[in-house]
Amino acid sequence: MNCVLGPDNILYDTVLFREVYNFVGQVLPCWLSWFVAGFVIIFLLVNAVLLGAAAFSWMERRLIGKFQNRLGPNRWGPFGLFQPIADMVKLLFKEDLTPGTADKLVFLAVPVAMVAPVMLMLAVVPFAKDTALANLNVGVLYILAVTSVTSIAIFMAGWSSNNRFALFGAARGVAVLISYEVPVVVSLLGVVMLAGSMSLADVVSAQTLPFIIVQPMAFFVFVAGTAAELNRTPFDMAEAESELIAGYHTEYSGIKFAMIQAAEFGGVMAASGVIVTLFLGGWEGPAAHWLGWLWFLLKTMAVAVGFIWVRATFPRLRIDQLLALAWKFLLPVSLINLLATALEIYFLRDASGVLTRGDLGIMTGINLALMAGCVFLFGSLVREKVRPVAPGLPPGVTPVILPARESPARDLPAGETD
Amino acid sequence: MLFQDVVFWLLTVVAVGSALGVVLIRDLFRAALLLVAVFVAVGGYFVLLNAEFLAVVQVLIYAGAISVLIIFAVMLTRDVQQGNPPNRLQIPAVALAALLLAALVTVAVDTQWSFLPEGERQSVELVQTAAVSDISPETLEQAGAAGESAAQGVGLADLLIGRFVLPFEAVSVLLLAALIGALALVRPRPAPQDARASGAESASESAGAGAAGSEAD
Amino acid sequence: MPLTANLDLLTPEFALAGLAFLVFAADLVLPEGRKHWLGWLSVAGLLALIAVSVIMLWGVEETLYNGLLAVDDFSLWFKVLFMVIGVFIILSSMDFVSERLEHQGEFYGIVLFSVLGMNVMAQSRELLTAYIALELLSFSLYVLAAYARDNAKSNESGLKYIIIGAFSSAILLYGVSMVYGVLGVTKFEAIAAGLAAIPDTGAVSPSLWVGVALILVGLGFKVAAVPFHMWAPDVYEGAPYPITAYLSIGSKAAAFALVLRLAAEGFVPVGDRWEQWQLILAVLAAVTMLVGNLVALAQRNLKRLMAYSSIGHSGFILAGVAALSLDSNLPSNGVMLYLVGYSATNFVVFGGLISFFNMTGKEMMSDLAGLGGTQPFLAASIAIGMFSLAGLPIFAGFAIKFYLFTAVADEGFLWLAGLAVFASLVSLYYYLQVVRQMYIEPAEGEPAYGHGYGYEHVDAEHGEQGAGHNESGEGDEPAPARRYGAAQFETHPALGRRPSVTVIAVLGAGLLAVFWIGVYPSPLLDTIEAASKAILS
Repeated sequence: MNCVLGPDNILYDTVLFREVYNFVGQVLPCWLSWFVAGFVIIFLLVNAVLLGAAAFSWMERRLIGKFQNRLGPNRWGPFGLFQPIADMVKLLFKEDLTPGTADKLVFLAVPVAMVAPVMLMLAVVPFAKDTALANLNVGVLYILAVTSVTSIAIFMAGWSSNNRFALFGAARGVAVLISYEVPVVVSLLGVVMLAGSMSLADVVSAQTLPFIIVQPMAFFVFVAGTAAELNRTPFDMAEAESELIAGYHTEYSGIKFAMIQAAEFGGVMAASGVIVTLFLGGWEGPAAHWLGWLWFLLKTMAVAVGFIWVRATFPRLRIDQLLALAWKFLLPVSLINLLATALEIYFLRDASGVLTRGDLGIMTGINLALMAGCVFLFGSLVREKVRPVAPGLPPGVTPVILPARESPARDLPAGETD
Repeated sequence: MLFQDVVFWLLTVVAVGSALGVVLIRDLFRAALLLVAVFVAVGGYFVLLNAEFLAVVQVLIYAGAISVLIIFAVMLTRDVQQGNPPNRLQIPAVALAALLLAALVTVAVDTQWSFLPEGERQSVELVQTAAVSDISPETLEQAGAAGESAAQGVGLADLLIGRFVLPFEAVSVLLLAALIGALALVRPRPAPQDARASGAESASESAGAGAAGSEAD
Repeated sequence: MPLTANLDLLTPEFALAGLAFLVFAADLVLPEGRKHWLGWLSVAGLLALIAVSVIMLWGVEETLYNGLLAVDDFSLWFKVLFMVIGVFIILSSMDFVSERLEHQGEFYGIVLFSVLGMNVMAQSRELLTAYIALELLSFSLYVLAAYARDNAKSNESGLKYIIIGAFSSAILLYGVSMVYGVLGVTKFEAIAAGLAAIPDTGAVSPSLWVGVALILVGLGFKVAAVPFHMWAPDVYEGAPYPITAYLSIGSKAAAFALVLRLAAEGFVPVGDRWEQWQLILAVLAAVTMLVGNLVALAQRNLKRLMAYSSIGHSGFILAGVAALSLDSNLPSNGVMLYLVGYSATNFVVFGGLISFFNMTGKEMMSDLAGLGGTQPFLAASIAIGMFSLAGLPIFAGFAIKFYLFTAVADEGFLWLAGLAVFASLVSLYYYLQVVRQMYIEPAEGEPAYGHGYGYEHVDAEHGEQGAGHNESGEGDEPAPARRYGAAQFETHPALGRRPSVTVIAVLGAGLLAVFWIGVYPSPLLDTIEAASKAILS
């Protein structure tokens, strides 16, 4: 047997797949090599997600403990390091309840639909040079596409549970998701324009200066949007436990709950990896050729810690504040960033369309100044709009009973602002 | 090639099965979910055709955005699980649909696609026409496979911002018109200058952001 | 050639979009009571743009973006027509909008967007561009049809329109994709070349024919040709009155501009294949004019009546499209002349009806009873419009029908021309019904011969109004006739008011146009001839 994957195959670009296929193909029949290579990739993906989730859950609980001046899990293993395993065992043996009135099929499909996008997202992230599972030429768009499927999973969970709180959570979650998708997409356009490619590997190699300083506004918008899409705390309307029990996964228990949690924690890790790739130079670092994976991991951890830090620091927003932030601040800022970046590229690039490091430096200066201006300007505007509604009427207004049409349905209790 | 064939038929089973499910299942919510499956399967076809950009856009737009809107609408509908009430025209409708399907399938099968010589095809090449119908080594070699797949996204962008920039701009005006129109249709009456209205305004102000959010999508 | 080489030829389009933005922006700063200025702003902008287009583009013959767009006499001609339509629609909707609708700024802005869509439609020589322009027009109209938010019928109208519109767009796109799939092209001239090449290559390509048929079906929905017309009456009935007028004038003219260019540049040069399609189109036209006019006989609601009437007129125009050929410009001249005459006539009819609706809020035919007495000017305008629609001599209707039917007969469709004449005769009945209501029927609940009851009351009211408004400086004009419509004064005191200055402007200009086209169309025909040459050469 000598199976070699030729360049005519659509999987040829998937370096890992090709290598495994060619290697295994020396001894196995070709059709079996397909499956072996495929399973290797799937195995890696699943374990990357699960390990990432486990590591992150431990990290989060420990760090939140530190932030809140308490210990956090510390009984099981050194520094409580085995706590995720204990959790998993506990959840595996818990009774797996399904509500009697639930839409069982959909209910069952939710954990799968939650985990799948996270795995798919990791498939294109380059862990080191030439080490992405698949080097898609439309990697950035691909990431946006697979993450957008999450909203359907949330919907499915909320609907199939047949539980009011789950449905509220789902409706909120999806409102947040589709609102934040717009600024996130627009903010990424600046990065794509700078790199001149949508392939993640190209984006990394284009970062002679990390894009976090070249594109500070895009970075801010993207991180905020990602946090919202991941239901991380300042934006976790979908599972606001003080209002909605646990939001869309209220009814889930046992192994299904474990999978949903794994998807959430794994999602944070995957998103951190994406942020590192897009803005922090990916695998780049000293001795990147050998230590690229290490730099990547370290940066990812740093971003994940950043997410935890934000969670520990900021109170939860109200849903209207959340949407106002997306539409009135993040979207204009990302549009300004897009416009500014386009103009800068137009004026700074040389004849062959290449941006040197010096050009990036100039852009950095301009963009930082712009960002300061934008934050100052929009900050004052948004603060005006997002001010909470006072329980009483504004001064000088005689109270009247409003007709039903004029007071839009507000499914959130007012004054829930922490 | 065997692998492509297997994937193609798998995708077809998923796509056709889900499409039938969309029509036949009474529960609207499940029907909407099956529609998502159809969209994703169609994205799979694009991957098979080496049109990764279109595949990704298909998933992003249809599975990620349009189906969410559909599901939102379904959630606002009453009696979702009962589906539509039966009506008298069901059987004629089925007959008509079957007839139409038969006609279209016949047409598609009988047609000799792309018979014009290369020179006369002033092709738009939105989907790369060379490599779509049959991924055999020869066609790919002809098209220069490696360069082709790399140039795909670029080619589309060049077309959109180059030759087709005017329709592209027109689309932006179209979206703006739709956006403004939708807002004008749902936004409450602009408040007249009296006390009652200013109370109403400040109360609806905070919820206005939410309305705007769901509207603009 | 760099893509930006001829960009200045699109100045009117860019300026029109800019005008719409300006209206939206001005809407933000204008106080509530001044919103009607936006209407005037739009009108002034459109008039300026008409002047700019004519000065800039007169006699220019260029294509842009590799032939995506044509800037030629044909597009200039239609551009001017569309902008004139826009001016008239905005003028006749100003009273209506300020009295009955919210969000005035958005209303005018969206009307401007739709005019932009129509302009691009007339210029496009490529299916995708045409489709997007069509959608720009359609989306604006979906919104406008539902613009009376508190009116259930308007909502129904918008919903039906958007569903049918989306459906027909899907059909159109499916056709486009099939044509593209077979030929690999979307430009009209390239389609013609591809179609002509088929007999040589001997290829079997039913998809191509199905694709072309689907495109025609999709456009058939847009012009409300008969098997695809069922949306029109409901949408027309529910839409706000000026939008009903807009639907029947603007959207129809734009769709026919597209059909004309597509047929003339894409199908007619094919030769014998086109002759087969001519027959199909002729049958479509025949059915459309018959069904439209016959069903109109049974209508009692004025808007529905006008809807069916416009379906019937679509049939006439389609007959002209079916008669297109390379040998003669007459059919395409006829179609364009018909569109002008039909638009001018409808300005008059709808101008009068909208004004009547503003005064009374009624839209049934029987409500018009006695209008000849209470509002002689309105009634006379509507009557002249109706005569013109029916095709009586010295009005535009006669000239345009005569020209078009002769052209159709000349091309060998004598039967179609005969049928058209017959359909026109049928239409005379229901058009005259309206006139009869206004002049012969007594107002409801009133003896046939009035006795002046309620006259003093009205007169007092009227004097007051006149003093308050004092628009024209003569508040004490002779009292309305005593004989008719006294009861209408009772229920609708506004009927004593003089029509506002915008209505008079619309009606006056429309009447002038109707008479001018009816009596001396030849200068107009010269421009039309030039436009025809641009597409049929």
